Amino acid sequence: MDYFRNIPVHMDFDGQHKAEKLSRIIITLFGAVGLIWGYIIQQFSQTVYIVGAGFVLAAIVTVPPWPMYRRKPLIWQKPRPDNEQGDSHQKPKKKK
Amino acid sequence: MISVRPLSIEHVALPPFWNRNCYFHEQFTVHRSPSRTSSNRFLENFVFREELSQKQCETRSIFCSRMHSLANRSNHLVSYTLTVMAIITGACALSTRFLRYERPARVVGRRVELHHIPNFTTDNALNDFAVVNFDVKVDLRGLFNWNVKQLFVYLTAEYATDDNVFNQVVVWDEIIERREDALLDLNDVASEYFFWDDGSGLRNRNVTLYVSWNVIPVAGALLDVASPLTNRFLFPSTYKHVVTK
Repeated sequence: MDYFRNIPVHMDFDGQHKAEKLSRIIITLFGAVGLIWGYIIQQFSQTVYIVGAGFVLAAIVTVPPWPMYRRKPLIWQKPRPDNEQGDSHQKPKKKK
Repeated sequence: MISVRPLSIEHVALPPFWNRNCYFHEQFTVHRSPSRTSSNRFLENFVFREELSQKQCETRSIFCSRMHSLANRSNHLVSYTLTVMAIITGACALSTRFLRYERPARVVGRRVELHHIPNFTTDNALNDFAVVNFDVKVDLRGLFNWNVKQLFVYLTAEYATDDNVFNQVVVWDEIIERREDALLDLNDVASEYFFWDDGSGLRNRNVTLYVSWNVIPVAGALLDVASPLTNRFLFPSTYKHVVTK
């Protein structure tokens, strides 16, 4: 059980952004092509199959955390010891 | 609220998409639970450019998806695919919205057998019962397009009696699923369903036959179209078979 829990499934921020963009591009592209092709041959079932193929492709490409989505990990600071906690409470920094 | 603590800037890694989108790191998602102290410690030592409450994050994520776990990515993918599918289906319905589905269907009533028998389908009262033979000739192949799943073609007999001003009886139908089967040429076909009159008013009656069809679409309106051609013919004055009580 621990073995399965320890399989990492998350992507880094950049990877999440990439995965979302890629999945949207794939589905939209297959949808557009399916719509045009189905209209040309007048078969709506073909449109549905093409969108389904796009869904499968997007699921394979963007759902598993492939290494390409994990190339920019966050650099974390070291945890500070507890006794330093009280000395630096200030207002949050604003975005410029 | 995610706690914000100023630290010296060279030690701080800013998530590049945190402010624009709501992408999550797995350690950010558990910060509400007080038992996860290690996660909280990570968060405390982290500096954000901007404070974001959970609610703000949820508001922003209307326009972008959470993509940080397998379940979230699958959910995003299914949701977006269904959205695209809905738009495509709407486009399909719209593309055939203004097509005309009327066609001339020639129908001829050949002969009728009249009976006066107990109506066993209801109360066993003596009613008029007819068996009509007819011809139908219609080419419905042009009706098929990518938004037509099937056609339901049916033949209606319409007449007026002394008891009822308006009578309609569907005596025959056929389901057509393919363009190749849509050229109908029926010769001397007997009516498929019971043609009961409500009473005994079918003798010497002028009955109008006409063909109609339902166009069953993939998406959009289910149309009911009647052929403009009708055939009016006179029923006989004698019964072939009479039951007396």
